[in-house]
Amino acid sequence: MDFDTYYSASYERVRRAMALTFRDPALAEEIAQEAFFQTLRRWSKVSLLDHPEGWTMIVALNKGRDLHRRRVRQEAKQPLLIQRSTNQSGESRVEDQMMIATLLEGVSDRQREALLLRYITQLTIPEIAVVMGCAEGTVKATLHAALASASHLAKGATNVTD
Amino acid sequence: MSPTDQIQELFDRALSSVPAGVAPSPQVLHQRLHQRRLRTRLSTMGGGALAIAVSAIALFAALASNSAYAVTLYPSTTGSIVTEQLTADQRVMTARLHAVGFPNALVKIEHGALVVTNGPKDLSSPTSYLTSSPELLIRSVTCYAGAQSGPVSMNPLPTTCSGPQYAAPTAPSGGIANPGGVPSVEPDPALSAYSTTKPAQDAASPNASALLPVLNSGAGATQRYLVGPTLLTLSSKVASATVVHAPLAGGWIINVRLNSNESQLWDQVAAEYFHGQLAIDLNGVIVEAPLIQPDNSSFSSFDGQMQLLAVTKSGAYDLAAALTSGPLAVPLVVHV
Repeated sequence: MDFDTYYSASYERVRRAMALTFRDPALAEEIAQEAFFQTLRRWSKVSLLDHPEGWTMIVALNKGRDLHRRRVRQEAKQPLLIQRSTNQSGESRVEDQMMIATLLEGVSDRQREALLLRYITQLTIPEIAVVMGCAEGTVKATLHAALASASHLAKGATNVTD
Repeated sequence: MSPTDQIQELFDRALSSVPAGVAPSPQVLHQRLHQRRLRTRLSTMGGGALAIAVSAIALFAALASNSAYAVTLYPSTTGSIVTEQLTADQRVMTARLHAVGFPNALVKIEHGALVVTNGPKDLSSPTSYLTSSPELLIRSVTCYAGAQSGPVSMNPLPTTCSGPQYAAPTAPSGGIANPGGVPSVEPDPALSAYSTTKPAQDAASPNASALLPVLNSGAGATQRYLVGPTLLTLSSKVASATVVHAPLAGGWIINVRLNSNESQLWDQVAAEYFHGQLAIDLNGVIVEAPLIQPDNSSFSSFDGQMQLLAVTKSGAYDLAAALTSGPLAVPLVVHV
């Protein structure tokens, strides 16, 4: 697979995952572009991996954490007072996003990586273990802990569907 | 359904609900990598050789590529241009470029045009605020509209809603239930047949009603407002403008402080539309549509403050720079 094909297939998914994680479309775009640039730089090696997208996703998360922290610090110095018109029709859509964003915000960095690799990149437990460089048992425990903290969200998801 | 499946479903729904974006061409990444590798190679050379090589590469890139190493800005007017006008534009453009973080940018007058070197890449965009003199038009919001659909109506744009239930919201006298929010109003279905007013039409007829898109209304859920004639035009010279990142608002907020004269005019209009909704029209796009002090029982001065929205960080800083540096003496168009 050449880089351009991989990029076309994966860019949008990584960008959306970052938008959910960091709740910021502009930041997500910046992170995704940086992560794919790093992927391109090491494409000769990354392309040999079974799941290059897992590698890109981890790079994006690391980059995103740095940028996000920096911006949160900046924003804390400039409190925002704004009153805007909102489109009420997208409420349930926003609720889904908010639930996932809250879930991703409330877990550790390693748990967040595992969740994204499992539920967005759709990797299996052994595949996640390879990408994260740990044992399968560790991945299972990490996911279990993350899901335990999110169990109330799963109940909430049922309500939203209703 | 197991909790795992529920979480998976939730992830799928949330992922698909993130507004679609446009992936930049992979060619951009290839170019960036190419430039980086060139720099890496150059860094192994000696100091003198490095300086010469970098200059040569920069010169070559400026001449041979579309990158923003050198951008030529031509006066867009067909009339005659005097040197003083170009000199004024040179001064304004230099101030703008310095304000957006390019202290080394050079603006020179050459053969009746401005040549910018070491400026930002987005300067070459035809929609860049840096090459325009943005004006803020304050209009009243008449009603909401969804995206244009079906056959386009050739009739003149209506000036009122098709029913009172579609009228733009006003705050009840006791304030609204959710402070900071705006009462929900359905889009007027009668407006879906009308096409969006183009920026050129909007600029040419500021005193006519217009159907304008709302910035950041979301992909696939285009929101438009039917707005009335311009109530107030604010010049492109403001006292100050600062940029704040606002992820929840979907972009970047520009906090504007108007000059004292315009501050009074803004207060007069806002007081007239107290508890009503006004739209701020920038180049044919509604960049903010505040409900005027919905939680207050009486109007209080805005003290010259106003907030605008921009989608991108560079767009926000460009707009802030354009607003604080004042208008260009002659409009400019870009040739790269």
